[in-house]
Amino acid sequence: MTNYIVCLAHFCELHGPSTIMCTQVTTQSRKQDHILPPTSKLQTCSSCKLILPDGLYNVVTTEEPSPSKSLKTGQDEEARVFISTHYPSSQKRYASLTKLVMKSLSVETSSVLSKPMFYGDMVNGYCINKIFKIRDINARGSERKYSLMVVADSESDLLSNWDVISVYFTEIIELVQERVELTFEDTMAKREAEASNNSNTLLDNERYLRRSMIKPKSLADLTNDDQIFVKLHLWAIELLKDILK
Amino acid sequence: MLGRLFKQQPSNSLHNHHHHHHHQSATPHSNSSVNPSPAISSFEDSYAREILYGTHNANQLKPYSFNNKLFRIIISQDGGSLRSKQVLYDSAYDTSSPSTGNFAASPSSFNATNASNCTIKSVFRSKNMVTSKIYHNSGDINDYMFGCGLPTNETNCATKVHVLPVLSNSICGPYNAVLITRLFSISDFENIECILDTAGNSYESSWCPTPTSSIGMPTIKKYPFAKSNGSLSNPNKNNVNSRFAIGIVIPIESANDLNDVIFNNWDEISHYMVLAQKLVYKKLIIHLNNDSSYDQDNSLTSCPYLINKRIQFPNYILQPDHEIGAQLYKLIKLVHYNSNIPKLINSNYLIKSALTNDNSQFNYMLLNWVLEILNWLEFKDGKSMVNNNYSYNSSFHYNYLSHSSSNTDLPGMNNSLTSMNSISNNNSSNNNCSNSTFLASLIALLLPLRKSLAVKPFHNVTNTKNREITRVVIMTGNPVVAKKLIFIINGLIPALDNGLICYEKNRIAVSASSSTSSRINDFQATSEEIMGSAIEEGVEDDEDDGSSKFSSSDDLPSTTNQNSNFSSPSPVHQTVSPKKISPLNGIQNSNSPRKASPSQSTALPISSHPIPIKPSNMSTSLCSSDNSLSGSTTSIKGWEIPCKSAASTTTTTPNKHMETGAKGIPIATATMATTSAIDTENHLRNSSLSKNSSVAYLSSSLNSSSSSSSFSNYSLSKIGGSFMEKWKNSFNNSYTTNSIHTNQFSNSMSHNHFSNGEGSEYVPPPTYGSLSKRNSIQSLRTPSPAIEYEDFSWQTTVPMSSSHSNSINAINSQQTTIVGTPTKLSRTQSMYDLYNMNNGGNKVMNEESYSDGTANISSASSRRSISIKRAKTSVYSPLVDDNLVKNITEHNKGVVKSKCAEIMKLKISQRNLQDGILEVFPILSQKSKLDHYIDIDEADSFVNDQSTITSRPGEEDASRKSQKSEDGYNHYNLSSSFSPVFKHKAQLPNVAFTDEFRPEFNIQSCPVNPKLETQVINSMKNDMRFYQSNYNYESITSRTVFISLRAREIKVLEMSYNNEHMSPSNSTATTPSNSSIGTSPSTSYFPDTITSTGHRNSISSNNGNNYKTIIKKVFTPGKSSFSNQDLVRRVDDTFDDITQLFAQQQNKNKQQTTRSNDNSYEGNDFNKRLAGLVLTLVN
Repeated sequence: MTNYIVCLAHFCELHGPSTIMCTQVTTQSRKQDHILPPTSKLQTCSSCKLILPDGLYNVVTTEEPSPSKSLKTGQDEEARVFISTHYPSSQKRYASLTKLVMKSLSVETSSVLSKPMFYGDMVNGYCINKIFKIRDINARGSERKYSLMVVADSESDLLSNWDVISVYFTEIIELVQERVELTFEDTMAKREAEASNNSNTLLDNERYLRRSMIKPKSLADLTNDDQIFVKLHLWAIELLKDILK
Repeated sequence: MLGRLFKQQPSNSLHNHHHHHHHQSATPHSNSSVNPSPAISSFEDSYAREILYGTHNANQLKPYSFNNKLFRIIISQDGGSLRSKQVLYDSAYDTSSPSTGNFAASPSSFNATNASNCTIKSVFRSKNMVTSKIYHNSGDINDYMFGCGLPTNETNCATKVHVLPVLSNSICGPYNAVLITRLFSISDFENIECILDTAGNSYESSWCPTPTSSIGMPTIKKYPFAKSNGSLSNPNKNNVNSRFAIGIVIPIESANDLNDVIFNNWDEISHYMVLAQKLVYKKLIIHLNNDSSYDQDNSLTSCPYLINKRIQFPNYILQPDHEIGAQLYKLIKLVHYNSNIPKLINSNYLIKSALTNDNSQFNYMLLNWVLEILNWLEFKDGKSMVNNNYSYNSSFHYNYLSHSSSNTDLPGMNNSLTSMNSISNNNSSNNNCSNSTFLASLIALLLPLRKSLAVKPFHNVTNTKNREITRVVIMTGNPVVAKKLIFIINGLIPALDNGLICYEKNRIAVSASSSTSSRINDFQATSEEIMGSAIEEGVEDDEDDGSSKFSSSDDLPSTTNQNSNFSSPSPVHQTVSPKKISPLNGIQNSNSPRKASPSQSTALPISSHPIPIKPSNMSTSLCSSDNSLSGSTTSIKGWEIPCKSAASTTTTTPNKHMETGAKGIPIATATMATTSAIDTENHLRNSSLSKNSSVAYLSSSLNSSSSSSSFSNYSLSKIGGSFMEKWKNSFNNSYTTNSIHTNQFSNSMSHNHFSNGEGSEYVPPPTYGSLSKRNSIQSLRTPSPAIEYEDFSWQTTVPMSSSHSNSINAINSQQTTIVGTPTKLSRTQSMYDLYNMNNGGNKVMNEESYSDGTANISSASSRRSISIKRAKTSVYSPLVDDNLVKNITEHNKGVVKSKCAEIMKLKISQRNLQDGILEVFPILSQKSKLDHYIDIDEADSFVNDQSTITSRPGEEDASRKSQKSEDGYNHYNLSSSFSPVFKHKAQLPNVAFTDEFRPEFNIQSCPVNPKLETQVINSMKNDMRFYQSNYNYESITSRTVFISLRAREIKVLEMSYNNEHMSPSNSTATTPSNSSIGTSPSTSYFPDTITSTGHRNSISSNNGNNYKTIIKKVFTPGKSSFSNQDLVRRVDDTFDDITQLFAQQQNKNKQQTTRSNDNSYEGNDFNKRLAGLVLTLVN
C-alpha cells in the first residue's frame, strides 16, 4: 500500500527549510512505531515548533473501522490511526521528507503559485506541494514562506490524486491566510488604538527597524489560534481519507 | 490526417512538415486544433455509449481539442552556470527562417563549436517574434525544469510536473499547459540509484519509493574520458556529472482536465518519457564519443565538451536530429489517442454488482451483456437458435399476456411453441457437442488471460517476477460489430487491481439517484410497474405530452406508487396494460379488457386469436421510443440479420438500402411458415397500423440511420475527412438529425438531443461551424462502405445509405414492412420483461425519446439507462449519476470548502494520554448517513441526524459539529455528513475502436490494414525491449490475441523471454502444425506481408537477445484448435444453459398465463440461475 505523509513545512530564517508537522496514517498495531518519544523534543525555534495544547507532541485520531467495509471483506479491518508529529520517526521517511522539504522551499520554482507542483525521484519519494506565504510583520520581507505537501512513495498513486489534493491545498491555505489576516488586522487595529490614546507615541519603529525585530513566530501566534495545529491535523485526516478511498 | 502524412512523408522530411505546421499556426484561423487529431473513434449511438462507456451522454465523451502546435519538447543541459542553462533542442525553436537549412545538415557538421555557434547566431537572428509569444520563455522553462536557487548535486532521474502560467497572446489566445520534466545525468558516478535498504524493520522498509516507470541502466556507455591535463592517478574517472532535462509541454483545455488528460495516462506518458530519455541519452553519448579525440601520447581520450567536470554541449546540438524531431509527433499522437478515445467502463464490475445486488442499477449492463452474447451466438456464430428466436418473440407477449386479467389460452400457439422450444434445445445441445463456436473459443481463450488483461501494458508491476502483457486486437471492417464483441470481452475483464472503482457506499450514490427500489427478479412486477406508471402518467395524457414527461422521470412519489403496485396489482393496471404493449408484440388476447380502452377504435379482437390492435398514440410512441432507446433496434440495423432470413433480407443493391428500416419484415415472413400465430399477428398488425405509428417508425429509422452512419465514419477517412472532424461530425450528426425531427414533428418537440441536463450546455465550438453545414444527414450518410462489409459466413449489415427524403419516402411507402421491426425487438423486450428493467424513476431524460411527446413519458418511466458521471479516461468514484452532479470540480470544491471551514470553526476538546499523545476522537459513522446520498443541491446543508447536531452554515451556534457522547469527549465526524468527494478512477486502456493500432491499449479494434499484424508484432517486440532493459523481471511475455473478424479467425501471437534459460541458440519461430500460416485469411488478402514479417521479427531483435515467438491459430471457421477444449466446451455449455434458461422461462411464463400470480418465485429462480451462469463467466 502506498504510504502518504501530509506535511507542513516552512522556510525558517534560522534553520532553513524545516518540517513543522507531518501526518501519517497507520494501523492500531503499528501505532507505536510512529509515536515520537519524549526525548525527541527538539530544541528549536518557536516558528519551527509544533505547538500543541498542554505541551504535547503527538496528535492521534483513531478511526472506527467502518461496518460496511468489514462486512464486505468479511473480517474485522484494523482501525486506521492518524498520527501527527513534528517529524517522522522512521529514519528513512525522515531523510526523504527532509530532502523533499528542502527542495520544495529552496530549489523548485513555479511561477503559478495558485497551482501545486509535483516533483520526485525514486530515491526520496514523490511530492505534490504548494507554496504559500503568510503575512508576518516580524519576518524578513514581512512574510513567511510555508509549504503544504503530500509526500508518497508511489508516483502513480500520488499523481492520480492531484485533483483532490489541489482542492484541499487551496482551501486549507485560504483558511489559514484568512485567519492570519484577521489576526493581523486585529493587532494593527489595537495598536492604532493605543497609538491614538498615547499622543506622544512615535512612529511604529517595528516597521522600519525590522531587522532588530526579527523573531520567530509560530503559526499558532500568527493565527491567534492555539489549536491551529490540531486543525491542520484534522484537515490532513480528511485529505488522507479522501486520497485513500 | 497526421497519420497519413506520416505515411506519405519519409522521416527526413519531418522538419519540413513541422514548418508547415508552423506556417499554419501563424494564420489567425488557427486558434484551436489547427491540426485535427488523428484519434477518436467512430460514431456511437446512445445504446452503444451506454454499454461501452456507461453513459448515454455524448458530451461526457466529447474529445478535447488540442492545439497541436502548442505541444513542445525542449532539451536542456545544466552546464554549471547558476544563471543560465543551455538549450540543446527545442521544438518550438524550429522557425521558418532560412537558417533552419543549417539544421538539415548532418550532425557531423556540428563537430566544431564554431560551426554551431554560427548556426545559433543565425537562429537567434531569425527568431520569430510570434514564436516567443506563443511559447513560454525557454529560460523560464529551464528554471522550472532544473529548479533555481540551490544547485543540487544529484545523479538520479527525477520527474517534475508544473502547471505553466497562462500565456496570453493574440494568436492562440490564452491557453493552459503542463510541463512534464525528466531530469537525468550523464555521470561517472554510476549506480547511485541503488536504494540502501537500511533496516529489516518492516516499518522502515515499508517506505519504498516506486516510480511509475523505472528506467534501467543505459546500455550505451561513454568513453572513459580524461582531459589531457586530467589527473593521472585515475585516468578513467573524471568525476563528470552533468544534468540534462527533457521537458514536454502539453496544452490542455482547462486546468481541470489535468487528471483526465495527464495523470490518468501517466503510465503511458512515463513510458514515453523513459523512451525519450533513453534516446536523448544515446544521442548525447554519441556526440560525446564521436567528437572526442584520442591522445596517443598520453593514451587519454579527450573531449572538447568536457569543461570543469561538466559536459557542455554547444547550444542546439540536437536540433538537426530527425529522430528527436519525430518525438514531438509521437507525443501528440500519444496524448490524442490516450485522452480522446474514451476508455470503456469496467462493465465487469457493474455486472458483478448487478448479480449480487438485486437493486442494482446496473442490471441494464448485465442484461445487455447477456443479450449481446445471445445475439452474437445467434447471428454471428450461427448457432441454431431458430426456435429460441421464436420463443423470444413470443415470450414477449406471453409475458404481457400473463398480466392480463383473464386469458383464454391459445392452445395451438402454445403447443407449437413448446414443441419448438424443446426441439431447439435439443438441436443446440447437439450442435455444441460437435462444434464449438467462435465466441465460446474466444471467451475460453480470454478467461485465463483476464488478470493480465487487467493490467495496463506499460504499468509498472512490482512484486512479481514474471511480467505478462496481453492485448486483444480486433481487425475489422465494421466497427459496430467489433464494438459488440468488445463489449462482450470487456465484461470479462476485472477492475484494475489498484482499487475497485467503487465501494458499497458508492452504489448507494447511484441507486439513490435512480431512486427506485426495483426488484430485478420480479419480472411480473416489472411489467405491472410499467403499466402502472403508464397509467398514472401516460394514459390520460395523450394530448398534454410535454408536461407529463418530466413528472414521470422526476417525480419520486410516483415511483413509490409504482412500487406499491408490486404486491397488489390493481385491476386498473391490468386493464390498461396490454394496450401499452400491444404495438410491440402486436398480439392480444381476445378476452383482455383492452376493449375498455378508449383509444382503441379499430381492430377489435377476435376470440381465441392473437390479434393486433391499433396502437394508440401513446403506445405507439412507447414502441418507437423503445425502438430508438433500447439499442436493439440499432443493433439490428447494424449487424443483426439472422441467417435464416438472409435470402430475403440482404439484398444489398443500392435502391434497396432504403428498406433497411424495414428489414424486419422478411424475418417475420420467414417465420410465418412455421408459426401461424405470428403470421396472423403480422397480417393483422399491418392492417391496423396507424399513421402515428408510421411516424414513430420513421423516427426510429432515422435514428437507426444515424447510427448506421457509424460505418461511414470510418469510410469518411477514405474520402479525406480527418478524424477529429469525424468525431465532431458525430455530434453534429446527432444534432442535425434531431433538429430535423424537430422540424418534422412539430408536435411537442421541445427537446432534442441536448435538451437534457448538460446537453444543453454543449455548444458546438466555432471551429466546426463550417463543418456543420456540410454535415447534413446526407453528407453523413456517405457512400456506404458496402465493400468493406465482410463477411465470411456472417450476414452483412446493410447500412442506411439513402438520403433523408428517400428514407422518408421509403418508410411511407413501406409502412407494411416496417411493422416487422417490433418482432425484431422482441428479444430485447422479453429480456426487459424478464428482468425488471423498465422501472421508472430514472431522472434522465433520454435524448432520443423525441419522436413523440408521449414517448417521453413511456420511455422515461419504462426504461432505465445508465448515465454514470465520467471523463474520457476515468469514471468518478463513487459512481454517481451524470445528472446528479453537474460539475465535479465545483462540487468537490464546495464539499472540501465546507468540510475545511467546519474544522476551522471547531473548538476541539481533547484527551491527554501519556507519552505526550493528544487524542482527538471522531464520531462513529452513522449508518443511516451512509445510506443517504446528499444531492448536490443540498450539499451545503448537512444531513440532520439524531446524534449529530447539524445545521446550515451560518447558524453559528448549531453548526458546531462537536457534541458530547457518553464518554464525555467531543467527537466529530465530517466525512459521513458531507457528500463524498468524487475522484477519478482511471479505467483500463480498453477502447472500442481506434483508427490505428496503439500499443497503449489492452483491448481495441482497428480497421483492416495489411500492416496491422506487423504493427502488433513490432509493439510486442518493443514491449520485450522495454521490459528487458528497464526492469528485472525473470520472464517477460507479450501476447496478443489477434482477431480477424472478416476471416473469423483468432490468432495468438506470443513473444517471450526468459532470463534464466537464456541461451543464444533458443531463438525460434515456432509455427505449430495447426497454425497453417499459408491459409491465413489475412495472408490471402495481403499475401506478401504478414507471415514473412512475423517470422522475421521473431529472429531479429535488439540486444542480441532473441525472443521466442509463437504464432498460434486458435480458431478458424469450422476448426477450433484451442488446446483447452474442455474450457471451450464449458463456456459453450454455459451459453447453452443461458439460452435454454430463457427458453424455459418463456415456456413457464406462457403456462402461467392461466395461473395465478405466483411467478415472482419463478422469476427469482430464473434470476438466480441466470446469475449463477453469468457468474461462471465473469467471476
